[in-house]
Amino acid sequence: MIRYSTALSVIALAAVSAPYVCQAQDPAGKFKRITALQQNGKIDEALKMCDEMLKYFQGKSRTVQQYGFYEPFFVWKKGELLMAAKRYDEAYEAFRTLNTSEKFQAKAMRERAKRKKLLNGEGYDPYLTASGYYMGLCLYQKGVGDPKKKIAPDPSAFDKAIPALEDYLKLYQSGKVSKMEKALKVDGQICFMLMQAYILQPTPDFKKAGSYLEQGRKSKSAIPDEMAMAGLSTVINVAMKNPEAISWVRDIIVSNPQSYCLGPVRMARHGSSFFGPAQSCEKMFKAALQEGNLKKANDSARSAIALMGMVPNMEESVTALGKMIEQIGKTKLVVTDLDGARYNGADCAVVKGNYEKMIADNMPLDAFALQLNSSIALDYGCHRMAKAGYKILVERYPNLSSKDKEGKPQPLSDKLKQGYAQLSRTTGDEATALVVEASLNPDNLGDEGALSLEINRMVQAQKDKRWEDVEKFASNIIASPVIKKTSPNYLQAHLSRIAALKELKREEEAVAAIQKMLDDKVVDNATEASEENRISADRMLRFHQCIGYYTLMRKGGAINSEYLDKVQQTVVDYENKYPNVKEDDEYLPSMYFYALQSLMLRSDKADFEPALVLCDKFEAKFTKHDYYASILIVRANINIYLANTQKNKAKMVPAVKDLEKACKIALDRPNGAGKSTAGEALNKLAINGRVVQMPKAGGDGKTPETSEEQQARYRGYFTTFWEKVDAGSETNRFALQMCRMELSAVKGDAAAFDAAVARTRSIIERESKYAYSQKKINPEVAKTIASYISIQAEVKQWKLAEIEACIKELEGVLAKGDKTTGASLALERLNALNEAIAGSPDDASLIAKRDAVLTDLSTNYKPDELTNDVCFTIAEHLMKLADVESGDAASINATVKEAKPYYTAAVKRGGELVDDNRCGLADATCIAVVAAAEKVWRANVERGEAKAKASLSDADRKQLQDAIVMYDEVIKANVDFELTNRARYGKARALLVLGETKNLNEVVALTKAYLEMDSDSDIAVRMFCIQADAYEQLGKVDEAIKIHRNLMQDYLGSIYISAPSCAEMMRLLWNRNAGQYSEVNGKVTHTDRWTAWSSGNNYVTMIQKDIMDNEESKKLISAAEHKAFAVVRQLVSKYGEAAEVINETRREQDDMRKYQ
Amino acid sequence: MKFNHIVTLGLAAFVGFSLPADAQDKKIDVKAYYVKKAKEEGKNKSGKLSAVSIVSSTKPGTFVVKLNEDETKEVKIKDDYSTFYVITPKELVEALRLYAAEDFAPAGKALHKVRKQLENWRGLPEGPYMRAYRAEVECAVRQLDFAGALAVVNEFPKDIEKLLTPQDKVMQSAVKLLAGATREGGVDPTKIEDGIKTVMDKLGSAVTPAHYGWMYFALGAAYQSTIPADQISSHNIAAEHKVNASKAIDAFCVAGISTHGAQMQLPIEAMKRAQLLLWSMPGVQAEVKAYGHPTPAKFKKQSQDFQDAVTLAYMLINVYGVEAPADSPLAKAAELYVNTKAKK
Repeated sequence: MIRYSTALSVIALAAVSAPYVCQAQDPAGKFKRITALQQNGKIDEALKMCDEMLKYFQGKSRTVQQYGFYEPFFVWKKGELLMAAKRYDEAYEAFRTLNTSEKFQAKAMRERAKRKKLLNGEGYDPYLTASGYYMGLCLYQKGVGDPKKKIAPDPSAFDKAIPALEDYLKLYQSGKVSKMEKALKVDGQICFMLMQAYILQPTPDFKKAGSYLEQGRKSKSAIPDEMAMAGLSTVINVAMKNPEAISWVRDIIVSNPQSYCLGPVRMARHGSSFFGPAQSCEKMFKAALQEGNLKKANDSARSAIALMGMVPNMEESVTALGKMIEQIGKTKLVVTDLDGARYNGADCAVVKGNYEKMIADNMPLDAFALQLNSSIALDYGCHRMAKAGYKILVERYPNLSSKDKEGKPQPLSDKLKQGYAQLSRTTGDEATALVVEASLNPDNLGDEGALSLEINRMVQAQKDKRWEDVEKFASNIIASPVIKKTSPNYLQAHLSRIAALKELKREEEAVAAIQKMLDDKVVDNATEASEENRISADRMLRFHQCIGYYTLMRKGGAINSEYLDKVQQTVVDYENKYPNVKEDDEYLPSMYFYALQSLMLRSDKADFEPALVLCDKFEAKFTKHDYYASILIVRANINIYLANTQKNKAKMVPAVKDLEKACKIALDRPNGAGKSTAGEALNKLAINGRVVQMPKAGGDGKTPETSEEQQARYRGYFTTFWEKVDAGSETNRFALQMCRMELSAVKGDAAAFDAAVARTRSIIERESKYAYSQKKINPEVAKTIASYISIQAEVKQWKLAEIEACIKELEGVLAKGDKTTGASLALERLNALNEAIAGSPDDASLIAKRDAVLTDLSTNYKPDELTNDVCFTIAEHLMKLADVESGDAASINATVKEAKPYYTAAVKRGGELVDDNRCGLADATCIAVVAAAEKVWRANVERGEAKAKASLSDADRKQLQDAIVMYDEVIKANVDFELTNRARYGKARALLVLGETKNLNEVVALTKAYLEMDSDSDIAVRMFCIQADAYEQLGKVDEAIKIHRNLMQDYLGSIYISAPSCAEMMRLLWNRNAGQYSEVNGKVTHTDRWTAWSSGNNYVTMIQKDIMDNEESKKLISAAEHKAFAVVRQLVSKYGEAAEVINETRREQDDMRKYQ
Repeated sequence: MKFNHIVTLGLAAFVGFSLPADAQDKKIDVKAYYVKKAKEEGKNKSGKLSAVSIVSSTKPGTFVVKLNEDETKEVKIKDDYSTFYVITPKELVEALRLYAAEDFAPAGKALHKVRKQLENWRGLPEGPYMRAYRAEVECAVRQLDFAGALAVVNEFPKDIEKLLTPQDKVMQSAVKLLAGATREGGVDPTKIEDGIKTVMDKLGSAVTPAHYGWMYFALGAAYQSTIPADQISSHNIAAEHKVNASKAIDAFCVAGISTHGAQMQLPIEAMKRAQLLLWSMPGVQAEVKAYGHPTPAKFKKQSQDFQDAVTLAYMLINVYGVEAPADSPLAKAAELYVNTKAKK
């Protein structure tokens, strides 16, 4: 290593070049001998010799007098040697002697010495003043010590060093020094030393130090590299102990750029040693920020950054060192350039080797300097600057490593990437964040880093709606060993997981997770989250709990009452926890809404009361909520239901009021947001509002409106609908039904009717085209087409020709290729032709036309070309053509054969309506067998015989079993409540026909389960009948009789139900033939047979009187009902003619007579 | 013998050689220390340095020495010398001293002058011409005179291009990007992106932090040039320019941090530009208006652009020593700064 460089050492070095002459009696020779010893490091020997010479000059001999002018040379040399021996105080004394001794100042002596240029080609003259500098210099060195040689600093030395240096500086600045000294340009160095001395003295004087720093900066004299670097080190050491002086580090560097920005080769030797202090400054900065001491933080940051600016780029240094070695070789030869730089090839090679190793170990200091810069920016809060640092680190130092506590290399790249990704995200560059995160390996991040990554990933996945990932990341976060349960992240992970489970339709898990969160008090424990956020999270949780139970309640078709109760409970819990909700509460209105919906879905009359309570609670607080209109509609629906079932017309009035209000509120919502709700309200009004007489508008609330007003109001619903709701729509789900109702309502008003017809045509066109564009089937289109034709035919008394023209006109507006609507129109044409044929059964041209339509349907509408929906429509239509009542198996099968391919095509294809088609196919598969069995049973009944067990071939049996398999699939899929019921019915019927105890018991179970859910629909009636048949076959005739009696009584006016049940009951009683006639105290017990006749007779008498003989009611009786009624009448007359019945009647009359 | 050559003297004495006296004429004296290779070592067994005056060097890697008054000889450095260090001429020392002291204006002039004087010695590898050339370019860039830097680069003699190190080539490319991106009318940023990519692909390992910063400064300036200047001066960048403004900010920040604290003139300019753009980002001024009295909680709730604009302004003034009048936007932004790390 190059030694500390001062003018002194250079001077000493120069002396080596002098010719070696040494003679004992020759002082000049002695001087040179001492210098040679000094040069060879033999300081003690040299000093001993020097002292001998100085002792010699104390003598009085003539020789001494003659050579006396040599003495100052030896005094100076003694000072040099003592300095070299680190005996600074003695050195100081030596220089002081030279500086102050009058003897040496004597002119004669100086004149004589001029010729002896022993001191670097000079006499001692210039050294008389220069010694003043050296007095200061040697004590300064004592003051700073020498860390490399483990010589401790001795700040007390500055007491004398400072005045010596200051005196000399004054002398120097006033020009009172020799030319030699002037040429040295040492003023800058002296200022630098004084600056340090003032800082390093026991009580630092930063003010004085500052003034010398400023003076030195102005002098612009370069300070030798070693001194500059050592000086900086000393200041750093002081500053670390005196943080108030930390800014000094930076000030020194910035004030002396010429000393500290030396180019890569020179900086390579020193710069790396400043990384450690830079780190310390950065730590001080961090601590100061936390203390809230911004000034100290700023000072530390400035110094840290200035020091890091001195850390060389290692690649650049290696290249520069390589170039230098190329020029000067790897030897120890020292090259000193005119700019003062000294280069030593061997040193360069050592530094280069060190740097190359650091690069090879992936630990170049420049990378860490960048990282510290980033860290400072980040701590201040500037993400952009921090990100820029990370970007450079990630891109330019991809393999950067650090060492762990045990000294093992730890790859940093993943941590840096993670930081880069995070900062990219916070500064709005999501794309970069994603790309960088995708390349991360969490194993390299440590627990905290991995957790942070998972949190970022979760947040991102949630933004991208990647719910599987959200669930995964959130679960990882919850399970992380380092997550704090008090942290907002822990809470967020729970909330995100629940959101994900909901989106993934894993509601059971979602509600379980919510319940666990509430039980574990996860929200309450997240104390690091703000109270506001915790309350918000708790409310949200309760809301999601409500929605979760609501969803579970609806899962699987049937309403699960257990979950329904839980939905209600969540509302109660919420109300209890937050009794003072405001009208803008985010969740409670929605919770009311779902609680209400769930009650309505169960359709249990007992739920209406709590439902109305919910409506009223909602109305009490949330009339500004978007759901208010929907709530009003629900309340109206309940009242309409009650009005219809309880025959309480008064309830219609509030219902209509609610609907009208709902409509108005919905229409008032901005941007047409309430159009759909208004449409629903108007639709309900159109359905229910026609016959209600409302109080007169603007009246006292009691006076009813006139019938004109009533009609105007009713028509107004349609006007509002077309103008405010439907106008401009691409589609509207109520439009077609509204058309049908309007057509029917304005039949009597020609102008209004024409307008309605025109509108209906355009709506049919719009909706059919819309459905076609969406590749969907809208059954409303077909229904409306049917009404459109039939109502016009009725009003305008159309014949076939006009109907056909109308159909043709509609065909003209269809979307090209719309086979769905085309098929509907073809069906209409078929119906019209069938009707015409009914009027003129022998018209061959009509029959030919009808056959053409049938051919068209079966040839032009091939199953594979049609959607499942159309397939279903056509197949269902074809199935209806099968004459299951009277046709034989062959004819039924012939029709079914046409329908089957449509069902089969849809079932094979899968997708939409596949289960509807499967159910239809099941029907088609077994219908012939079932119909045959039912035909036999009907004949049995007509004959009054028991229903015999159906006789089945193996083929029949297989058809039934195949159908049952298909029904089961439909029931299992459970996609639609109605469809599932249809399958249940089909299955029950097939099982009944199959017979055998096991199947019959299953029929009983199946029908019982069904009838618990639904007891008054058409299917329910049929299920009752099937159940009764099963009981009969199982020998439980009493149960069968009970069922039919109930049916007869419940559906008395519906002859198609009551008459067959009456016949069944009569037959079953007749055949049971139990009981004995008895009379006790006027109370008569009859036999079964008499009861069979009597019940039938009563029924016939009552129906005859109330319906058959009533001209109006009679019109409503269908042919089938007439037939069914005739069956009962026949049975009554047959049983009535039986002797046992006649006798029992007589006997009763006789018995009764005695009481008259 | 003059005492002000004491350092040189010491060395000369050490190797037993006396330097020739300074030429009295204005012509620059270019000398080199050398050790000849083995074939000459018989004559110079000590392996000590010698010095030689070089008459000229116009071909890369060769130079002409004077044998006597009438005779000169052309020598190939690599063939003949194991050590060949060209001493920095005192005129160049003086110019470099000014540059090191960051007196850029006089340094630039002096470097230009001395470089011209040294053209006759341009063929010396790592010689004074190259040193003057590099310093002159850097001096111009550190004064943010990119056109001036480009002029110097364009003057580089074609006949010595093989002396350019990979780092020199990076420097030249970076100067071209800087000048291109900052010229009037702006430039398509994708061209600068492509330029940076080309440099990184071809010369990546030779790119110093400073030159890396220059290239990103160019990129920032290119993106900045796509934004109407009046939108920046009025601190109201339209939403449609948000993406490019953000890219400009990112690039300037890379330039700002690339040297990790060294040669701060260009990095500070880059950070100032980044700060100005952040301060002008869509929505930031609206936040400033609604901000009120600074508190840590409020500060944390602001957009990151707002926080970065304020923090960077604060750092520029308090850490990087940028002077800003009290009513300047920079000072006003810095006033809004809050230390959010303080633990109460």
